[in-house]
Amino acid sequence: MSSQKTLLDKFPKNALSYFRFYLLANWQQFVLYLILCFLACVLPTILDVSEAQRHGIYANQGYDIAQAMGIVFVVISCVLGIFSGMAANSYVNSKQATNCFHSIPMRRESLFVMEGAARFLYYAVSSSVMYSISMSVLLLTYGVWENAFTMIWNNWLIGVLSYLVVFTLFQLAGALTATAGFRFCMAGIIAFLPIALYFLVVGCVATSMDSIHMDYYIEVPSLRWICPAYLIIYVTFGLASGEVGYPVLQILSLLIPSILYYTAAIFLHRKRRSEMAANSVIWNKIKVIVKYLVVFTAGICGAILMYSGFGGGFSWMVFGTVCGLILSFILMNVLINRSTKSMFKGIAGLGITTAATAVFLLIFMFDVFHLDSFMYSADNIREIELKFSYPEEEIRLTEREDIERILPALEAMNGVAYIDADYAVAETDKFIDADEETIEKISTYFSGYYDDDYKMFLFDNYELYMKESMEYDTTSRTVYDIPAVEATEILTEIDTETIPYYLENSVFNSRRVYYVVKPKFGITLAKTGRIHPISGAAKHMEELAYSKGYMDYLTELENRIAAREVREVTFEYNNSYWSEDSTKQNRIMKNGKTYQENLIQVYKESIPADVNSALIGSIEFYVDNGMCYPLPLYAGMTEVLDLIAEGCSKTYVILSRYDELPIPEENYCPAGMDYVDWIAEEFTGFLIVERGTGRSWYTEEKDDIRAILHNSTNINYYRNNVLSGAGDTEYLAVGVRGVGEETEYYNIDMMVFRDGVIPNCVTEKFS
Amino acid sequence: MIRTENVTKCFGSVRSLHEVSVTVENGSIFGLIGSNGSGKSTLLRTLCGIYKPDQGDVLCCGEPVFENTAIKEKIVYLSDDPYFLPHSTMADMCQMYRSIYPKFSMERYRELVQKFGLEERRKIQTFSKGMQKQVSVLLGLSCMPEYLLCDETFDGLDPVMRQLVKHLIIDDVAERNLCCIIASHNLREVEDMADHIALLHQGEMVLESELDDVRTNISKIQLSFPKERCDEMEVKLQEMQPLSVVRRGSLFTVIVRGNEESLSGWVEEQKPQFCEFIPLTLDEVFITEMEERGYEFTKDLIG
Repeated sequence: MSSQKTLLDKFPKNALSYFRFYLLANWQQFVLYLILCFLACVLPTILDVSEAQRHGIYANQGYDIAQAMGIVFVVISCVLGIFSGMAANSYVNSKQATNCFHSIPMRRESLFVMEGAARFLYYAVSSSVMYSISMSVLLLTYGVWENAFTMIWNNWLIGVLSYLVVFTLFQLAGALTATAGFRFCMAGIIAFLPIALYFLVVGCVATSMDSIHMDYYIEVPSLRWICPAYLIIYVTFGLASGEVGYPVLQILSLLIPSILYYTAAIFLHRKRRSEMAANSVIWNKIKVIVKYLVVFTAGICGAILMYSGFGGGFSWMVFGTVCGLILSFILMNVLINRSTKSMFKGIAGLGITTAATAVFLLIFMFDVFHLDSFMYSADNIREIELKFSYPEEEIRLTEREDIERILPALEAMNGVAYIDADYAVAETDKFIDADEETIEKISTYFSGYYDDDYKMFLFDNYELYMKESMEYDTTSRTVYDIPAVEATEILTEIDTETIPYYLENSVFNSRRVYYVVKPKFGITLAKTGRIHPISGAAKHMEELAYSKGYMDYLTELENRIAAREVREVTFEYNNSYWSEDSTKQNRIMKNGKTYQENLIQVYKESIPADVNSALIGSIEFYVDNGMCYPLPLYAGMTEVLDLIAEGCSKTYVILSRYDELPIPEENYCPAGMDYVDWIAEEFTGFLIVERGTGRSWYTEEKDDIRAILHNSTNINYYRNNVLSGAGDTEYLAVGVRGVGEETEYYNIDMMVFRDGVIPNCVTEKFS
Repeated sequence: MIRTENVTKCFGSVRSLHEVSVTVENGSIFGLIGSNGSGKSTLLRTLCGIYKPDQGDVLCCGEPVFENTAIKEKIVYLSDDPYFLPHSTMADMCQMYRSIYPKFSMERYRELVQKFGLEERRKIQTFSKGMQKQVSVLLGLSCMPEYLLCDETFDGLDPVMRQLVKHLIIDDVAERNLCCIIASHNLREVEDMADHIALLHQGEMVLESELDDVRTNISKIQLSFPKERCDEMEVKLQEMQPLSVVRRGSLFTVIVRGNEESLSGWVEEQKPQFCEFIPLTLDEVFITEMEERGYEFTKDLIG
């Protein structure tokens, strides 16, 4: 007979009857919901509208307020969700009530559903009414703006779904525990423990891997699936902030966890024995685990906070760990046992946790698993994404050949910031007269040490560098950043003392790269490092330059230059002297477009062959309005330098390096001193490249510098380092990007000799 | 008919019921007695579907009770610690029970309200403990149950109300064929009402029988012997395998299994100076049975 029952027959009539009773008996709750929704929705709307009207209405006022209301509505929905979730089925908090409700002729799941449904009905009706009133006020005041109804509907829907997520989460927590306090804590555990543990692991990995790309791991999309709060915020700000369209994905992303939570809650509620009333089903079993997990987490957090947050050393890390362990241990004992007398309960457990924390920290600190240098094999890599900081560009490498080429460069960067790094100091690097002793010395450097004799290291941590002024920190350095200069004869004149200055320039001309290695199997590896404009390691630049991804990038740039409007783009520079009073002469080069096209083509051909020379700056292509594409410029790129000289119709191009250029007004010059002689003191070296021959000369002699400076001009006075085009939005810039004039570091400018004035020292050198 | 078959129920490591089998017919009052913690309340809660037995079956009209809405509509459980909705009045609770129990009789409810003389619109939490018990009984009986499970229901009721409740239950048994199970420590109450009793001890059913059989199967005999024969008779009485023998001078009080008819022959053979068969109260039956099972509270508590 039972098999012939319809669904309606199966649904107990007394459950519906009880539902009706419940709704009527708890009308006070409904009134409360109405008041809360009025205060959260209608009142702010009326106040906002009044305020806006007092200050004058502008076009998007209705849209803006509706957008803000969408967020407020989600917040109030979450609050009501917590309220309902805590209150519904709270009869399990009491043995008396449980005995009563479980003895009456109603199935437990019916009871569970009815109580939740009644509260949802209260919420749905009160929020809908008040939200509708709010939106009606807005629409009547400001008129209907584009997509108004879609936006309002979406915002309301997300509010309702947010309520469901929070409500079902608390129902699940209630099914696992019982009493109000534990229900609240359990909801917190379900909502935040998985993501907290995730960040704990990421934080620990970061202690041994300074190069970890934290933002990537924080923004991993799948994280929102393990944290309902994150999910709600993500969807709310994605949709309630005004995105329109039918948000199927967003609805599902909130609906699915709600269904999962609720299904689990009903299942657990059914399985929950009446005798467990007022007791937590699970808390007693897991409270010890939770206690020591929190203590462990606090210990780790204390360590990370003291070590990283305050930039402390090992002793501070120990201090942070001890503080975190002991304080959290006492706090958890007091909370769990609800008595201060029990604050030291479980000392043995604390001992074990302390040992575990220490082992855990040391494993990461000394990188026992070699996480810092870990890299997937090319066979297991599906894709590598390279993302560069300003100007932002992304290169995706999917070809096996490209991946294999770039891997050594990435592996070279892996060594950066690694404690006790065993860098193979470039034995082949002609820049350093490194004997075996030197190699030994460098390879045993620890973080924080500084050896005054060997300043050949680069700084990744710019802020640290700034803070510690001229102190070198080895937290991020690699000898691969030292450009090999064999091919650049002129630099052979630089002695070891000057190396650091070049290196500094290399640093400040470098860009940050974020690389994400996506394996076929395994966890995505996301790291960051500061590298030369394209590659982290000049040594490996060649590899990248040959890569399909990079060539695609250059080709795209080339195409964009070629695709510009066909018109005469003039190519100009100011032929001004250093003095303000001197006459400025603009030199115009005809066929500028062709010139620029040639330049990118020559660059593209040149870069694979010349990357092993010294990095002397970058050549910047301004293609679109405001968009700059700097490409690394190497000393070996004589063809490119020739073209720059040709663009200026000059025989020589001068690359000048200076600390800080004084304000170019003679008034500031000390009395009785020639202005040019005065500013010449600031220049520390000139590199002069002869057009067409590939010859170059580097000098630091003050007499030479003065002579050159008296006869030269900046390519563009107002825009340092620039050969600028005359187009409104498109022009070509060539030069070296140094740090700003405000800093104490060296800048590099590109200069040329003024017409007909080439100093004798230059003529003699190149004769 | 409601019955349990080998029901076992454990709470963690504590075994509250162990293979309890009991059958209660409709139209009868079943007294459930036992020491503290013997499992009386657990058995009642298992019978009405609050607890799910770990082993065995609880059947009512041949169907399992647990989560069986149709069967539970026939059963009302009056808890020893009744629950009412927070801040509710009797009228509110009436509405609740009315929505849940299809046979709830408003007529009966009004009649009982009058009989008990309770204020319908007053918040129940302001009632005394005894009055709350009355509300519980009132609501329970208004549901017109076929099975009424009373857990210490008479505790806290004044004698008048106790009589009223007794009469109401007895009337329902007589008129509606109600099956009532009363768990109580107050054996006098049970003795007055029950036609069947069951004795639980440490979760096990020690005794289950009609009340009259219980009384007749155990006899209390007072015997007196000449002073010189007393020592001899003290030994001799052990042949009866008495449940207890108390000697005060030459007067012996013996409790022994068996009825007067079967024992009188042996007693007369001993030629006592005085002999009298005294009827046992349920209290005495309870204490005797419990003492036999090692529950010797008199020695421990009284000394």
